[in-house]
Amino acid sequence: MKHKLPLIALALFVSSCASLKSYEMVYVNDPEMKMSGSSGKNFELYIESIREGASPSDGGKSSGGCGCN
Amino acid sequence: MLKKVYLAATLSLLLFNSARAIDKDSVFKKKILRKTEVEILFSHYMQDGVHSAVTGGLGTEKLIVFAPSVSVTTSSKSLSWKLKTGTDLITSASTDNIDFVQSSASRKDARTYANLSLTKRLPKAISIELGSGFSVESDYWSLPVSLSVKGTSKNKMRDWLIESKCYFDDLRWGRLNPNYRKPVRLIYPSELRGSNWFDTYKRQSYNLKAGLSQIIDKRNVIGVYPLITLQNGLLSTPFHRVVFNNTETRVENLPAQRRKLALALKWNSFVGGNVIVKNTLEAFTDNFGINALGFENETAIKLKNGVTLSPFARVYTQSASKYFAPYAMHQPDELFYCSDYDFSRFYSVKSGLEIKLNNQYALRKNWLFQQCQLRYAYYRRSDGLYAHIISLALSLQNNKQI
Repeated sequence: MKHKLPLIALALFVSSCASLKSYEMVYVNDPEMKMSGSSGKNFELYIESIREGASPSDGGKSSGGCGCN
Repeated sequence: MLKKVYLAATLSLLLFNSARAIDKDSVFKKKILRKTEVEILFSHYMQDGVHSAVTGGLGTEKLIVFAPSVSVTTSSKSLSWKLKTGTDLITSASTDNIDFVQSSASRKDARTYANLSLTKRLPKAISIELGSGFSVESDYWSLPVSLSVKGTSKNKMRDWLIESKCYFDDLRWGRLNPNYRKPVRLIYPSELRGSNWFDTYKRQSYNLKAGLSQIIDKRNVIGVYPLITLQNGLLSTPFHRVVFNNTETRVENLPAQRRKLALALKWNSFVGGNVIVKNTLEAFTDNFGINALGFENETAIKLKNGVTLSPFARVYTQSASKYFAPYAMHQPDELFYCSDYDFSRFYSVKSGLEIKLNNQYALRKNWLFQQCQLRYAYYRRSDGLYAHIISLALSLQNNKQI
């Protein structure tokens, strides 16, 4: 039960978000509000996935080449 | 009577014209727009440090990578294709002693890759994407296969993603060598080639990623991205040396299986008139003993004339792998060992600036200039490694009616 609490809290939080009208989405639909990064940032994530022990969850790579230098 | 005739004639003419207009509109709506987007990316990476794993954790890590790439995406009503291809031109000081033919001439290497993906848009705002390609360098060949499903909720408040990406790697050297042009054998450090250090030359990596982003209110969006990775096979780099405390030298040896768990939490907020604050918190753990935590902030400031300035900063810290020890610190009776400082305990900082120009203007034959991005980052690790990362991206778009 202890491990399920964060999931239940997340589900309640997500379901409590009220819907927005189309005209109210002008800020959240701005291209800068996208969750994905620019190509330059993706190149940095690729470098970080090689130079650091962790594989970032939001980009980079997880193997496919030695990245050995 | 004449007035009534004029009135009837005028009404008839108006009705006829409006019918023609509706007909024209309906014909126009039936046309399919094919959109082609091209992005040209020039990336440059320069690094230096004093802990090269090729020389046992002691020695120069000087490395320069020039990485041009191009991606082309063509979209129609329900299908889109994306092709991304590029070459990384690598100049490395530490790998000049690992070539089979000439022991000090492989300072230059190249990684060439191409990936093709097909996205099919289904009803109810769901899309499915299938992709594959290849990546080849002198000492490996990699085959990626990916499948992902994305969707948007009916009220457009929530996006979700499930993505599976697998890599099948062959780490034999020789494909790009003019004397062989085929995979020959694993490449060991020059003085350790008398033994066969590993039984396998293959590595498989399986990644399963999920994603959920939710609009909280008019100005805030959050996202949760968990990732599970399982790797099997040759996880050691066969030309990394390890020097033991009795001066014996061996090839790095790591377990044949690695399990990773990563989580990224994102929060984007449109705070003021023209300012967007983007925060990312990352956490990571694996069975090699590495636990990591990172935080990144990027603040986009929209100026006049389509210019956006985005200063950014990132801090990251990780614990050492249980298999890592510095130069000449490993015990000879250890089963697994490496002196690769990527697996050591360290913290890193990164900061920089991105400048984006969003002005659209027409070029030749339906082509539009979309965007230009210039990004610079300075990266420094607490063990002394530092790097400069520069990227320039140019985006073009072509809209065609078919």
